[in-house]
Amino acid sequence: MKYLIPVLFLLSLILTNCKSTTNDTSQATHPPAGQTRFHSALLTYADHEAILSSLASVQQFKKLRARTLQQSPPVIRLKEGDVRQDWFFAQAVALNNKEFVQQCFLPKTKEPLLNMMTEIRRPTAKEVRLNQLSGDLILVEMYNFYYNTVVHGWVDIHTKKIIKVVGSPGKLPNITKEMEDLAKEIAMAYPQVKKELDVGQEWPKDMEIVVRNSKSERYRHFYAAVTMTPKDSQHTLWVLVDLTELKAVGYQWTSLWNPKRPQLVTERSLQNEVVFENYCKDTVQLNQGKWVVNYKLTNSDGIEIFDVKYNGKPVLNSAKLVDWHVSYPDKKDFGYSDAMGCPKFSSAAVVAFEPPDIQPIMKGGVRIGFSFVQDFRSPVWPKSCNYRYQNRYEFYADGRFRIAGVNLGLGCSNNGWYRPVFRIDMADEGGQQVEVWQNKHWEKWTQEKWHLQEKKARFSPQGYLVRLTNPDGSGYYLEPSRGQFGDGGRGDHAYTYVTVKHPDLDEGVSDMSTVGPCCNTNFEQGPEKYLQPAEPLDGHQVIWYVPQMKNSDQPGKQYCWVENRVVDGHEGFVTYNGVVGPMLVPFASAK
Amino acid sequence: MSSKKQHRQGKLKNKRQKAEKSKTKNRVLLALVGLLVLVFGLGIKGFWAGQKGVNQHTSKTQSTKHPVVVGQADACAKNPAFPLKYGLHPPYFIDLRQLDGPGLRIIEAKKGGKVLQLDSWKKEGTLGPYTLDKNGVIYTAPIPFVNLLGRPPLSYNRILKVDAATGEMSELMHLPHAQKPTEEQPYGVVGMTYDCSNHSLYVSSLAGSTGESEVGRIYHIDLKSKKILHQLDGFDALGLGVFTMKSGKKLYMGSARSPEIFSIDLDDDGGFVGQPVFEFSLAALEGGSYDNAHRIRFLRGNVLKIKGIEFSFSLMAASDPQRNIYLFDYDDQGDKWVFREAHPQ
Repeated sequence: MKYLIPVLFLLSLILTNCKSTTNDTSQATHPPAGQTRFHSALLTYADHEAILSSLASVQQFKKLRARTLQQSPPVIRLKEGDVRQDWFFAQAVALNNKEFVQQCFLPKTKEPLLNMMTEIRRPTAKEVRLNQLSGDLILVEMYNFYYNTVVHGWVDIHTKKIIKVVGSPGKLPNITKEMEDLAKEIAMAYPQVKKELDVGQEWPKDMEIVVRNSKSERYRHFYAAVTMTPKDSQHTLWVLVDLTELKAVGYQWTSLWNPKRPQLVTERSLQNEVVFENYCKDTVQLNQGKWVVNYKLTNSDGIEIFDVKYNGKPVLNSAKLVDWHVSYPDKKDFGYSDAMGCPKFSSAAVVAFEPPDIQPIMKGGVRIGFSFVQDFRSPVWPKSCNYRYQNRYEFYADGRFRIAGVNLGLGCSNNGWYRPVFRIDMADEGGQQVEVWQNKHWEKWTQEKWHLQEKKARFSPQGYLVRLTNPDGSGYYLEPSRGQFGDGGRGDHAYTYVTVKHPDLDEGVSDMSTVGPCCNTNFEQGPEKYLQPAEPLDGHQVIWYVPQMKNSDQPGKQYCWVENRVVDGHEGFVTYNGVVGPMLVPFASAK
Repeated sequence: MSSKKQHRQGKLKNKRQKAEKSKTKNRVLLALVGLLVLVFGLGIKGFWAGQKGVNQHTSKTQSTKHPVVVGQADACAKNPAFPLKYGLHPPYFIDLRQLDGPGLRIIEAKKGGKVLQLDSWKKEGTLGPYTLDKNGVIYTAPIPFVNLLGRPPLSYNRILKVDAATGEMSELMHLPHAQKPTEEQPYGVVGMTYDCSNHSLYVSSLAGSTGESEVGRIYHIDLKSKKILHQLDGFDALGLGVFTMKSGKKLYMGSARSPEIFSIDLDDDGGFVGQPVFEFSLAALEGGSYDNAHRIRFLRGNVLKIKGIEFSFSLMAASDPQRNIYLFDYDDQGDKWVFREAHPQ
């Protein structure tokens, strides 16, 4: 009995120990789905220029970059004080080695590409072993901004010669003290970041700020993550900084850094999180001028606009782009039915990376409307067989609106055909009469039909193809693109299908995974299945609109194409947008 | 303290020392009792740990009745015989990249090597994971790719087999799903690995998982009876691989939701013991990315090779995805994996 108390004490200690051990283990076990989500945002449309224009470090780096691109080789060097004095010679040795500086110029045009020395140090034993080297060695590291590649030069300290050069595409470079400071200053300059941290004019001295590497999987830039932890906070704000384009990309709150189970924020994880959480789950309403537009990023039909009102009056129930049919006639049955949609949990392969972009449409210095554009990309566009598309909607102050699709290349070859499938459901509560301009007059359609804009297609004198008339005599014309919209478009050459709206059938009201195959070159693009057998029109119909365009890489005639360019020494692009889609033009009642 | 001083103090405290001896006896007894309690306590703890993560059809403890042989569990897997009939000579590639159209292809691993694709292989459309067994049978599964045209979400939770002698492809079995797959998340079977010791497959299925609920499953399937022997619920895994460590046999799983690798202990019957345990994050490794472990393979010489890709429960794009390779070496002394390097494929 006299041991009972110590035994019980020991037992309780052991049980307590068991409990705490179990807790420790649970931290390292699999977390449940739907775990706490932290606030995140992208700064895609922030006014970077204005925010950073007063930042001396950014301006100085831009000047340094410009000076470097005039040098040969175009490499930002490390300064003497940055490196141990007896290793500093290795920089000159590396820069005099042809293999080390091989990627400093674009092979085709000899344009200078921006490079930066990022480190000179002793290699680790593991690095020496993996590279099967021996001797007294110094490792020189350089980052190539254009190819997003780290180049390692192995310098023998005694012979002062390079014995090996290794290029590692996609590898993260060391962040030098200068770049670390630059990243911090950029991150701290954004009012959005200050607001997140509740910081006024002065940054609190006790805020922990650490710069870490982060990865840019999609744009393939040099990224740094500036992590900021307010004193006594259990959370850290990650601000991703693009050191290639010198701007902040976005931010996300996370739990505190746990070295045992690190949670990282990278370009891809941040983009997916922000777009999915903010645009895929809920409807967003846009109020601009006389327009009210509801929109949502869909599973596989791009960004759908719905319940659109002009001046308080419903004009459009829904518009969306359900498929892009891509075919290559020189390769039989080769192509893809691409769907655009959410970056996570979707049946789309070409997904949204960024939020929609809303811009004013100006004419003669006067704002006449606004555009609403959602961009979608394959993971590593513009590499071969990667695609980039856009939903483009335009809303004008006079009541016109346009439903367009944009193709920005690249695809699998220069012989590609693109056929986007639009589904347009006009607001027709009172019933709408459908007329099509044929044989020089408006011909009333009484049953479901399709129509092709042939090469020599005829339109009404105003350029319209379809007239949709409400019972009160007002309505909308559908004006196909003939290249008249000033956006580089070369005409729609579209198939137009008019099908009866069946309230009891879905027929594309909800998300359509894929409406048709890739490679049909005739009217069989998918919507034809809704007009077999042809039914009489009852005033409530859906318009399916399938324009056709062919890409081109011919100099001066590029279309649906993209080409690489050197911009400030890094990789940039010039796109030759293929734009298709009709304008809907309102008309008033003759009464 | 000097030795003389020690001696004097020793004399003075002689009586006290006798009393101390008696106390020491008591302490030893107490320590023994404590040790017994500790052993008992650890037993309880082990029992709790075993119970905590027990899933449906899982085992309670990891048995150690057989001597441990460190190494990969699929070492007995061999190539099928049928490619020889079609004039192909090993070594082969099993190509499921879908670069030249859907379906399985077997390619001679040499420059200008012959390519074999039987008609029955095209019918099943795009395929994802594969593994081989000791007889040369290929197991694979259909996956959605670019779009769902002609293949609704319900058609992806199946295992297919390719006969080792004839090359004919047929369905091995349909797997049950926790929730009905939808167009928003059509994936079914996405990962598989073979275990020689009991001629069985481990198969991961994402069927029914959504952004809000993780209901993926890992099935342990007896290939002879086509029966599900064990299943682990509530885990969305892509790549799978089995390896026997000094400390026991483990199933390694690449999370479909994060760039993390988990493991779970296996008992002698291949049943799951306890809960999945976090091993490491691909994103946190030097040169790593926010990749999901798409394939987990153990190579000769006890090397762990992980193929990482972007996976976000949306469909694979038409182009060849960016893949990164992560290599690890088994540290025999520490009974753990040591990261070697990461590089693009």
